[in-house]
Amino acid sequence: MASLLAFLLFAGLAVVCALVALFHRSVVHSAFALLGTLLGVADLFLQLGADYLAMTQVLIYVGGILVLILFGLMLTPPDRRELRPARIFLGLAVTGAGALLFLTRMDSGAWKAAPLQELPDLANQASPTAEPIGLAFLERDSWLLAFEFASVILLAALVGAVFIARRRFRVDDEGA
Amino acid sequence: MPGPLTPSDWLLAAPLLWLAGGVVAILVLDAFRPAARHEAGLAFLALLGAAWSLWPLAEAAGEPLEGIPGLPVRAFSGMLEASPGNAVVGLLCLGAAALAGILSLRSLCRLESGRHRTALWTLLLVAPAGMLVTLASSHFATLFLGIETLSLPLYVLSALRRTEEGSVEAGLKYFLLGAFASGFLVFGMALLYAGTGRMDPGAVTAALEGGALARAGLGFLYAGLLFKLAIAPFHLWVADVYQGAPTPITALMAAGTKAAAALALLHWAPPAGPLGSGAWALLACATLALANLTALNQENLKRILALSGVAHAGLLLFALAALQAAPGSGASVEAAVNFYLVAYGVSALAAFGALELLERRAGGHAEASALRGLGRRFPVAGGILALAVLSLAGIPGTAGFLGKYFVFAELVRSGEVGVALLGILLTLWSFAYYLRILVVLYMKDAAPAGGPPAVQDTPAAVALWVPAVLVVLLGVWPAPAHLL
Amino acid sequence: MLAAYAPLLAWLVLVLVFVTGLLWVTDRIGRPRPATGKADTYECGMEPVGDAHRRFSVHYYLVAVLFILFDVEALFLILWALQARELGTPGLLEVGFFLAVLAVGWLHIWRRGGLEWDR
Repeated sequence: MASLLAFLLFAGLAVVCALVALFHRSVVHSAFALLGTLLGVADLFLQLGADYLAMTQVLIYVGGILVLILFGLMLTPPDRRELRPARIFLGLAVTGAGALLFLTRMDSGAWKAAPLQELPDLANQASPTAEPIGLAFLERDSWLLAFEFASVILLAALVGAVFIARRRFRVDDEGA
Repeated sequence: MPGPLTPSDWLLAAPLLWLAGGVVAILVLDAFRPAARHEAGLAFLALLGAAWSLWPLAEAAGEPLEGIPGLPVRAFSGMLEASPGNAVVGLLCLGAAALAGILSLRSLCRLESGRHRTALWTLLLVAPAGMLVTLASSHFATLFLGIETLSLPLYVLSALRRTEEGSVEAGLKYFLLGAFASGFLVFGMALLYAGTGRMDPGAVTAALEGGALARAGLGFLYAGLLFKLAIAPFHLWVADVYQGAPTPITALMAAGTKAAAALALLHWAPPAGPLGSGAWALLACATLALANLTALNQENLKRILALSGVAHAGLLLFALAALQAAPGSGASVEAAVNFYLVAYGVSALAAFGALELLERRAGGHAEASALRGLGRRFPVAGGILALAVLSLAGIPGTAGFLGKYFVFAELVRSGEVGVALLGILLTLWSFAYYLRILVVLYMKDAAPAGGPPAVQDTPAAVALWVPAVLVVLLGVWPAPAHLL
Repeated sequence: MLAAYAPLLAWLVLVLVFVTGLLWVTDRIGRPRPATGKADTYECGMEPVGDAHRRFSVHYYLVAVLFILFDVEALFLILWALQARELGTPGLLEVGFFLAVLAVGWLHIWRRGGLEWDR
């Protein structure tokens, strides 16, 4: 019962905030509304028993990506044009059709990884996932390569970001 | 429990360690001795080291084309899997990065008074590392990491000429569409995992027997891979990105990314079964036709070569169609694909490399009008470009011909003679625009020399001979080809 | 399992109640004395110029990107830290490699002036 209430609360938060993010006139407000959506999704992860994923969601998306989006907005000149209704309806139609297809065609038996029937209990059965995930990443016979290689891609992203965001140098800057 | 790494783990990790070590060494040296220009040397050392550590595996590709290629090596409990033939394609990726580096020595390295060098060389090492992981991936984790690791450096490198609008546009376009494609890829993986509970290529087989969920996932997975491979209808970015990116980077993209994505697709292709060969053959024909049709109207040689790359990727799908039509042909199809990739790779490297040298003589333009008659004025670069174009077209005596021959032979052997004939016709159609490049190069009324006089670039001129010689060598002496 | 998160939920509710309550209370017991100076962005010091919707330095973006990258790094570290004892020396070496590679990245942005504001 409590989990159902929590689900309704946070799922509702996610949906309402997503709608605000979509339809609010100010992009900054939209960005802040995303906060609620991302937190709501974090709760869904939590209720599915994926506690580490929920923490990741809060740390990366709520803490990081949202800031990135806000800074991105600061870099963009304001565009006060209205959204065209035709575009909104097209988007709604496409996503709606996709969701409908997903809900009707994907019977619960299709979920091999975690059958749908078990979902409501998952949060109560599951044990903390961070430790098994950590073991899987660092043990040599499972995901070690992915773990170590992730550092290389993060490094490349760092170098690329510093390069892209650097000021343009003129020739007279030489020797600085 | 953590046991020690096995020899096969080390075998496949060693090239990656060389490349990562090179990146680290460059960055550390740059931090403490920014004035010393060690980057290029270290990068070439790392590439050489990686090639040297990959060599034993490539050397094991001893069996002839008809037989079974050497056993694939599995490492990290099935995260990576590479056959000797794959290792040869891996060597091609390393070579592509090396050639891109050599071509940049006198041009890109000097942009904005050389401040880009660190970024350029580190990213030039990370990209082939990603390619190696991608082409050997046999797990969702390595497939995704590999594709991201090869794409991310290329997004940045495409935008290396920050003062040129085309270059920035290329980087941005590639990045946005690439991110979109990665989204498809991950979503597909998630659905496949949800539907089958597996993360290895076995998920594909299981998905075909499974429900709609897994099949949808399969669709998304292939959409992501076909984007990287630039198959119609996901090929629209290619012309713009290849044109806008600096030409050495274009060469790396054409040879390396394509090879890595193609082998990944082959690894993750469904085994012969319910999907049938029709879908792949249809995609291949559509890609070839669209690429040919578009290439005929292009004025820019880089765009023509980019669309030629699209056509070549499309032709590769015929190999997948053959795989579908004839169960049990896996080994020989894979050998044909490996050879095809190497043949296309060296041809593309020679073509874009020579084009880069000619472009510099024409003031940085690759328009047909700017390159008119340059083949006469610069016989070596022009000759290499002409040779590469002949190979791309598939004239007998070149590597490109044999590559196409092997693929179509697989198709005929699998019983799809009609499809093979259609493919050959589409290939013949492409001669039209290859011929156009030759005509432009050797036109009578040469374009007036434009722009400032180009820098004498001995390293590039020398390095360009390597792919050029390989084009001929693989074409007339296919013995090394049979090693694949 | 879910019960373990009850304190978190209670804390969330407490924060919401406290903040809204505080605002409500100040609104009720405060006596508003409007003045022109109070309506300014800053009561003293700088005169605000122009619109808030102007383009900011791309440097903000770099900071945000670097933040996310190190955020991800921290997440990976948590995974190791929870198991540090069980994983022992091999685990330490593995995570050491991971950290060393990223430390080099940090060195790069530091030496390249990525952390300095006025470049």
